[in-house]
Amino acid sequence: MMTRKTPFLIAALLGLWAAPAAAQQTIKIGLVAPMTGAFAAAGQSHATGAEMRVKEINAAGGKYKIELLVEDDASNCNQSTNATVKLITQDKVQAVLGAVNSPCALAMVPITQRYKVPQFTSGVGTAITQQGSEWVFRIAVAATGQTKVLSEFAVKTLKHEKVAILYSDDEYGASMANGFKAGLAALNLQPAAMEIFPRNDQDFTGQLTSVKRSGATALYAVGAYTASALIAKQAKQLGMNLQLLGDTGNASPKYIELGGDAVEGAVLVEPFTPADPDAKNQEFVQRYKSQFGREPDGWVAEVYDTVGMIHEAVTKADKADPKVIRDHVAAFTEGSPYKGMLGNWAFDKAGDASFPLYKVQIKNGAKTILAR
Amino acid sequence: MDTATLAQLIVSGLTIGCVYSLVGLGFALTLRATELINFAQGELVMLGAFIGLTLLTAFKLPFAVVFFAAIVLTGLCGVLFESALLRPIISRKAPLLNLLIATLGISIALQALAIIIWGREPLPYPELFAGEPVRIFGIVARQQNLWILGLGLSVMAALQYFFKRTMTGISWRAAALDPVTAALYGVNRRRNRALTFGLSAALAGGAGVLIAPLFFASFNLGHSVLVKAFAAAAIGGFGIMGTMAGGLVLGVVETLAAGLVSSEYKNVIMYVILLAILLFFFRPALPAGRSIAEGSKVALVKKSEGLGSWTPVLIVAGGLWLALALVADTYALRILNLAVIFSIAVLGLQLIVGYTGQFSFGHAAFFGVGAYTAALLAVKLKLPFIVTFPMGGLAAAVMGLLVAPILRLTGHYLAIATLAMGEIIFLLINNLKGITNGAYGLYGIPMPGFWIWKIDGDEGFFILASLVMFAVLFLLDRLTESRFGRSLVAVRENELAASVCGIDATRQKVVAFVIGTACAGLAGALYAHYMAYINPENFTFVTSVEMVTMVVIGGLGSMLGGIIGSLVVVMLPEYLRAFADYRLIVYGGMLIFFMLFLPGGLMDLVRRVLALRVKRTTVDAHAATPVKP
Repeated sequence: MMTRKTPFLIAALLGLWAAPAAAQQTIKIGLVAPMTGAFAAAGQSHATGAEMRVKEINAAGGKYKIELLVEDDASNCNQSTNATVKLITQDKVQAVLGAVNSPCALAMVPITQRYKVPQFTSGVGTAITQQGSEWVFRIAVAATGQTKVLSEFAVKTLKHEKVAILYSDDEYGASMANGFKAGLAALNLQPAAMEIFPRNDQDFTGQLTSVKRSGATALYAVGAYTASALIAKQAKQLGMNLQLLGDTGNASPKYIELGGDAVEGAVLVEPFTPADPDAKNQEFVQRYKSQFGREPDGWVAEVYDTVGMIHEAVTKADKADPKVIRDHVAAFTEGSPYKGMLGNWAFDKAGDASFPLYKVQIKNGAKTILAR
Repeated sequence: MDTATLAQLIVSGLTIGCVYSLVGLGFALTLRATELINFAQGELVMLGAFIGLTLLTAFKLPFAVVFFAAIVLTGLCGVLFESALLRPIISRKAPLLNLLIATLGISIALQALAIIIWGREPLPYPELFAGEPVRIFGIVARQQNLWILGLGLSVMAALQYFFKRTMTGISWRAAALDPVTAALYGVNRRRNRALTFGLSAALAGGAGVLIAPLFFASFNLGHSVLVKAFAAAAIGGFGIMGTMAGGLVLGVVETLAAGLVSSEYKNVIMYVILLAILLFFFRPALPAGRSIAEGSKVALVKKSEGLGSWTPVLIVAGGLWLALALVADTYALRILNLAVIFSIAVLGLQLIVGYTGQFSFGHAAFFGVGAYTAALLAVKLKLPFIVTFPMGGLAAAVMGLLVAPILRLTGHYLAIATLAMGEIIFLLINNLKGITNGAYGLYGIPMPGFWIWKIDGDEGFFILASLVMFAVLFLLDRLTESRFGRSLVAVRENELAASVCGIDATRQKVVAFVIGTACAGLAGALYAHYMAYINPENFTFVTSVEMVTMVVIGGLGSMLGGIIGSLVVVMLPEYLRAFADYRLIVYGGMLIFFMLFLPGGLMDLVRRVLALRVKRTTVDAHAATPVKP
């Protein structure tokens, strides 16, 4: 660990030495994410993505360096809002990233609006950007967008008309499941079965039996990747031969590691994939891997790009100010986007970003791109 | 429904049920010997799983060795916790609730420690009994599952033998039945307790190695089955065979409900059945057992502890408190606001737990009922705060009255019943989408406002919430000083004796419970209007436990203590942010520390300081006018 990080530390120090003359200024960015509790792994992706970009920017020198402040919210929305107030009023950050859980991101919206600080969240819940705040930006593809793509692909390309949905009983699960249902309805189809599971559950036999009875040929499992991997395993043990479908919640490499041969053949949508052979992409994957010992996922890339965006905004306007950042980011259009790892960034009026999603399939324990 | 599917559901239900039983057995053992609910039981399971994983992958030891090593090592951890942390608390004759909070501290710290050692992401566990699933008559059973069933049953048989046939086991049972008599006959209670903790930890360790291959190894492995394991033990009456059967019943009911009835309502069905079992089979003929609050300081205080004599001091203190709105920064005010909101709910819980001696692990549900009522009235009917606020309290009180029949239960059965009831209310809020908007939550709740006073900042809200808190504190203080309040303490200390004196114990308990839940409802209404957005997840078991922690940290049976406890529990995690990854280790450690060194809660510390002064003045008075016959 130490040896891996050392070159960056040295680089960062050199960066500091290199530009002592031009009084270096600091951009403060706060990240509110679960570093403990059930969603700690997702928090880890966010923190590492931001950390990687911050190190690179600081190592490159330039007038503005970045200070990243990570606050744990343990997926508890009271703590998310407290941390947000702390970051804004005590630490005086110019931008807030988070929260990871949609309900907590939603709870943060009135605060970032009141203090006029831009908020960048990867929460997929539709309502986050529907609150009439011009200070919130969604850096992920919203639930509605993801599930529209996934349902169309499942029906039209994979030719599955009987798709069952099995979803967790939280906001994330409800958003995705209802989005998928709407996607099917647009194609004049109904889900073969719609089953729910409590988020902490680990045995899904009951629900899977209902899925089996429904005669479904494909299963869209919505939940944290741990639950989805367990669902895949248990379906396999029950002798069910289903085409598995998944969204960005399962895009983590851990999904394959935990699911093993049970997730073989599963089709996922993701905004970023380590499978893209593009040289820039591969170089990014290697860079991340060498620092953090695993493949990056969509969250890493989303946060990585967002930190870059903020830095660009401040550098261009030559002023580290929340309003400057908001205006710069809101001004991205399809004609003049921000070019990041995920492609071209532009936010619509509500503050939603959208990207073409990769459709990837897991083959021999690795992802292969089916279409984009 | 064909029989093969039914059989399949039953087999799968038995397997997951066996997991609940194995974890539940540890609960049952500790509870039998020490009357303690060990919140860290789940973390011991996790510890066993990770010890096993380390031995399997780093040392490449064969499974049989790993299995026994995990059992022995986790067992040693259990003995260590008992002797280093719990024994000192027990020897101070602290209330049982204090021990419970200490185990909660252990649980929080262990999870945070596991994150530092083994990481945040779940790790795949080697398949110990790989190979094709066994198929009998079209039923599929994994080899791992069969092993769990087999080993689980053998563990049970071994325990049964130990307790029925060995001298140590028999003396253990004797001590569990009647500690005093057993001690007279030379049974070493201390050794027994260490044995119990060792044994239940060892069980947890073994269970960890067995179930991790099913669910992966992660820092919250045991935490996720904790509630159901506890339920299994309760159904089984905390016996060995009973817990085993309880877990199996629970697993089968749950799986059948999900497969045949409705996956949405499977947990509701499960908890309703649990409540029914508790109410019909565990109605004690006579109130018995040790009160959970027994030994709390308030019980010993003869003289009125009321606030009456302190009126001038309190008015000054209240004024200074309100002045905080002017000096505190926004961040501090926000934390204070949350603490004040929680303290209002906690004052109600203090009445239920601290004064009446009733367990409640479902207080957050009433907090939620109040929050949802106020939010719905404000968002859908656009009613003003002056209406939504009292309606929040009223709705919670009505709900409290509805569930009051569970108050017939006592001790740990009441604990699990309130837990189940809280979960049912949470699940209803989450699933009645037409009314509550389900998991999406409710947003756009306006800040409180009156005709001319529209609150738009933390300062105004702080004043409003504080005034509510003062009012609730005043009313509850009057109430507890009244005839009614004294009868509550009488019921807590000795229900039987109280009924002999003509106190209708059940009625008193219900009235206290309803008042307590109304407080939670009022607090919930404030919470909804303050946060602007609420979600069912805000009102789960975790929040209920947090509220119990506030009561205990502040001091059982003290209203001011309830407020102090809320302040500390809301503020601690915030002001420990500087510790970053070690934040929760420090927080858990501090919970243990408080229980070790301040068994009467923080209020006791305040009281002791004040008592010193009072004593000195009394001594002076005696010196001045020597009383001599």
